[in-house]
Amino acid sequence: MAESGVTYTLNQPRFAFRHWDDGCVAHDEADGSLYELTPAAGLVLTELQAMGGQADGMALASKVLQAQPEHDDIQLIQELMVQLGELGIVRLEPA
Amino acid sequence: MKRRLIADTPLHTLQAQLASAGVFVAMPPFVVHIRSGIAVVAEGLHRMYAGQHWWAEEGEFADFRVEVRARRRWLRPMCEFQADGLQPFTPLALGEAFAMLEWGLNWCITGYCHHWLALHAAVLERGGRAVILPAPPGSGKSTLCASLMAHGWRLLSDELALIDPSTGLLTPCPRPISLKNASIDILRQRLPHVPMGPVAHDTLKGTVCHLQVNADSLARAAEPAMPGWVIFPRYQSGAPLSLQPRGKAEALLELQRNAFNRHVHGHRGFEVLADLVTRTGVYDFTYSQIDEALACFDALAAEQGAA
Amino acid sequence: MNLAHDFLAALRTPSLMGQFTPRQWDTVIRLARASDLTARLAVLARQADVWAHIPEGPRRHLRAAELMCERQHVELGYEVKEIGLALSSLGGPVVLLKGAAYVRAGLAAGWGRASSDVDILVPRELLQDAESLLLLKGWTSSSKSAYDQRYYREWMHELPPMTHMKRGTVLDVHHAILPLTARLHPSSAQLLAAALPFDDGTGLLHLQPVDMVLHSATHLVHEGEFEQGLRGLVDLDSLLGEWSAQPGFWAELVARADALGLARPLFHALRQVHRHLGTHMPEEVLADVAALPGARPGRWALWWMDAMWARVLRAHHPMLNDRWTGVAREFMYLRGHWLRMPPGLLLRHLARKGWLGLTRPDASGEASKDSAADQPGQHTQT
Repeated sequence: MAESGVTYTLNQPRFAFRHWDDGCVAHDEADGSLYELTPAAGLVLTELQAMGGQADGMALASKVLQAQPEHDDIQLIQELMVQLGELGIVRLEPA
Repeated sequence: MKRRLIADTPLHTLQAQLASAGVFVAMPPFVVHIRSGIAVVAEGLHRMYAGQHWWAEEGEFADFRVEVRARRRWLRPMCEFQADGLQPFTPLALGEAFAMLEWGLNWCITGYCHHWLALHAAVLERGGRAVILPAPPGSGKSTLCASLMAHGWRLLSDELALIDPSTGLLTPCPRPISLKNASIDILRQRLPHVPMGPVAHDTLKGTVCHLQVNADSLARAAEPAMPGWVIFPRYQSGAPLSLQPRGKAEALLELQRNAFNRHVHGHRGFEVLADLVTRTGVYDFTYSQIDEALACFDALAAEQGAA
Repeated sequence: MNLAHDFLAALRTPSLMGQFTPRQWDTVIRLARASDLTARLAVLARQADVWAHIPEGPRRHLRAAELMCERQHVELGYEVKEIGLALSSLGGPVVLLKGAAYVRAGLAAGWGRASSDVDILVPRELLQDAESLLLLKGWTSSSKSAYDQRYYREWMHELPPMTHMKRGTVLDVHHAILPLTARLHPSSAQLLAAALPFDDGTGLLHLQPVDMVLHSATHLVHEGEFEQGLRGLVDLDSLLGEWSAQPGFWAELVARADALGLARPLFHALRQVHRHLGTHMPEEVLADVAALPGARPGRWALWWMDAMWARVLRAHHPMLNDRWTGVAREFMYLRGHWLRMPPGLLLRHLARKGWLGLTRPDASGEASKDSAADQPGQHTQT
């Protein structure tokens, strides 16, 4: 099981988000844009925020799943984070 | 400061004052100073604002000072709107002067209302909870709004939801309901006793007319309201009645399309709208029969607690 | 003017706002709106701790303006970061000018100040590089015609305004604070050499205090359109108030004006800010400036200019107009152009453009009044 070598940091205070069962919306303060995200993305962001806004892939996956994560789980988190990184909501830095 | 009820004032008195130094009119939550030498403006004001107060003496703070002036352009009689020296619109035909006043006032309010988070939406209240009806033009919102008001719902506004960002409550700003084309005839039939204003034909929006705000709504214009529902209405000829819950995330995105000053409030504006969809019942609503629609709204109001 | 009395008093002694009647507020808000100073009144009222004493009606308008301004400041923060990033490899100083600089430096002049554009100053030899770097990062040049391009690059002191494709923000890149065609040529090299860094990680700089004052004065005096005239005065008054208590400031200001050849603009600006806003300055300063070569105009010219300034530096509202306001505005409009483009060049400019009856819209989208006034991108007041 490979450990993720990346730290994910929530880009605050620039971004804010709210999360419901049916989805998640993120707000960019720099230009007022709104982004529609999946419920899963919302869940992950909420957990990341609860962890102080910063975590590595392994820790984040554990928190989200409330269980020991499999390799695939961490992969999924990674892919999600890359997409969120492209939007600027999350920063990806080598651990 | 002697405030007089417009209904108790002869038209010619109002008209004379309007044409000379102008009049102050209380249009809660605003005070507006209006000047105009145009007859149809005086008539419209006299009929549509009958239940409201006016006075002539300087001494109070006026939120806006507006003027509707007659002009001649290549021999055609026109009118132009001015807000304290600014002229936001191109001149219109003289017959549209009252409509121009109303549009001008909308412009003033939407330009200077950033104290609130503002949405293009109708707002009405029943039993202590308000329904917000965001809708683009042509969705039948005005017909529904006027019918609800006549049916016993308090009108806060037919066009503008003003949300206080610090409390989440809605501030009323009831003004004559603007009607277009088909809805004019529909409401004339439905509500024959409700005064309607001067009709302006061939405007950019078609035929345009206004409907008076009822006494109850005016009397309670200082009472804010707690939002209870956000309902996206859509009139569709022949369609069966349908009230479908809508996802919160999706609703927030739809709502923000109608929130024209959201960016001014930054994150706080976002949070206010997010709170709004979280705490209210959010629905899509399709209807073709007004009476069915009213019954549906009655049922909603009768439910205990938020949906 | 009497009608503006309360408004000007509020700007100078904000605590007075706690006592204004609704009627006074009616006039004050109208004038503030016309001068783009509503947000400033809001900030001043908060600082003077009289916010709670202001009636609800006017207070809502102050709050609305305050919110708009705060929002603009947040956006400005992001914008200067992007500009700093884009130009980080320029290899030369990038100086933030005017309103954006006041706000980012936390100066009193930045209170309640919202500016639509950002202005920067770079060395002339790096102008092309700066443009390339900006184009790479998503800015586009707003002027289309070859004439515009030449006009800006050869004669004016800036690139055509650049707009960011995604954000829609506007950036004016200058290499001098006055056009090359103007009669005064304050040395950009000296301004750049004395510039000081911001402490915000953007790598951008701002003018040193006396240069900020001189730039503000020069800009005000060379302006042609004065819708923001009063705000320009308020800027200057504020800047002077920021530093005037520092020992040696006035002497340095006078010496620097002399060194940069800006004695005349400083003379007019100090004289007017003192007359209109009562700005405190030691007696000898005005005399010292007046004594500089070229500073003081002839007696009749001075009398005329005082009369002109008196009209154009008022809040731009019809209630303050008198018989001479229209004349004054027209005169100052022409004067502004004349200062920027002396007669010889104006005629050549005319010959190229005007005879064919071409009207070319300037950057604000309005058609030019006449060819002599052909001025793309009246560089936006900030």
